[in-house]
Amino acid sequence: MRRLAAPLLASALLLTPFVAFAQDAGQSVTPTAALAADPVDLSGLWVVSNRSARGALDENLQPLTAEQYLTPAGTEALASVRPALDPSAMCLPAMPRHIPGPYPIEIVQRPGRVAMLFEWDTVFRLIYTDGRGHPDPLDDQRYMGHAVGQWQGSELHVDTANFNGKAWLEGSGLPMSDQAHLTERYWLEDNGQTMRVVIRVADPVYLSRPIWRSYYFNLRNDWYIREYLCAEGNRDNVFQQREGELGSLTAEDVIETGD
Amino acid sequence: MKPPYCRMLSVFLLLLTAAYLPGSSGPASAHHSFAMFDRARTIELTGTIREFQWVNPHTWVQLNVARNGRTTEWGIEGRSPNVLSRRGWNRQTLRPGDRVTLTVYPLKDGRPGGAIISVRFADGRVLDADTPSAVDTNEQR
Repeated sequence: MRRLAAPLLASALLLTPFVAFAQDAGQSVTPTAALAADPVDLSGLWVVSNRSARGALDENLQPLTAEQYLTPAGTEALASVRPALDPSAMCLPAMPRHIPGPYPIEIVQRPGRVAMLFEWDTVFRLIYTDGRGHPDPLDDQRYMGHAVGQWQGSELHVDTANFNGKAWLEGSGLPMSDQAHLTERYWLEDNGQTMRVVIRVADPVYLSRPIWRSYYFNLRNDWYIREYLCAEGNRDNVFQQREGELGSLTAEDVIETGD
Repeated sequence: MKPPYCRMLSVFLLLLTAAYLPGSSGPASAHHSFAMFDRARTIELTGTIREFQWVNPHTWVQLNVARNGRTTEWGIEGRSPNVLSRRGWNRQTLRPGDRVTLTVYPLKDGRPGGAIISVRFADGRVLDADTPSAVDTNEQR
């Protein structure tokens, strides 16, 4: 028995880091019990408000024109946009596009996690606030990016990376590269009835400088999240249109026509 | 001839809609661009509902329109059940056989399709469908 113990122990020691790596992808995770209580509770159902700013803003949240922030690659992408190739028209989600929705977002929070449950596309996003970093982008790239956050005073600061380069920044057709990087701040105003969201977007491929988005959300706990499964009746995916079912997009929206 | 306030309302709605055109990233555009619709023009279509598809990501009204002795089926795209349900619609708002008049933005390419702005029922009641999003309904009053 003793003769078996040593090789077993050696095998266990050899295997343990490998197993841990496979499960956690190199992320160190703090047990929930060891985490301090969150300073602010963002939980609730949030609906984007008309008070939100439109378009791209500078660091002082003042409007920018496209020439001020697009790289030549960004300008070219917008000039040759084909609406039917919008990933959203194929039911694929994106960040920060899913923030202003316009569909509601339910936030559920506990120490170590802030979960954003999006009505639009019935997708979720976990913001890890347990101190971990981003995983290796070689094995984890996402439409929504990978998000980690930390509480700074009464603000939640979120850092999102690991984008897959397949999403659009907005419906106009401006893409996001896999180098895109988001920094978000969330805080409450109006005695908790308003949530402010300010998002900094950096992308060395399509943006010549960082741009900001600024949103206000109204707390509407009298609403509830409905189901939104985009594949249910999606005629906008021109690659899957059924015979006789007219969609508004056509093959011409895929092919460059030069107009 | 529409009364002047109707026309003013149309212009107002048009401006309101223009303010929500996708391209800017404000709280409005979802799912896909509306570039294929001619948003500078509205048309009225009177016909009979063949089918109302209450599905995501967009509702669809299949409307049979008779003109010059010929019936054409139009496919009119609407906002999602999630948006419309918060504006008083449900899956039976339009029923097969109902006679209605739809105001729509037509497709630019001339196919019999468009995006629904509002519906007028036989009894004269009008239901709006074109609010760009949930945003205009969620402000605390």
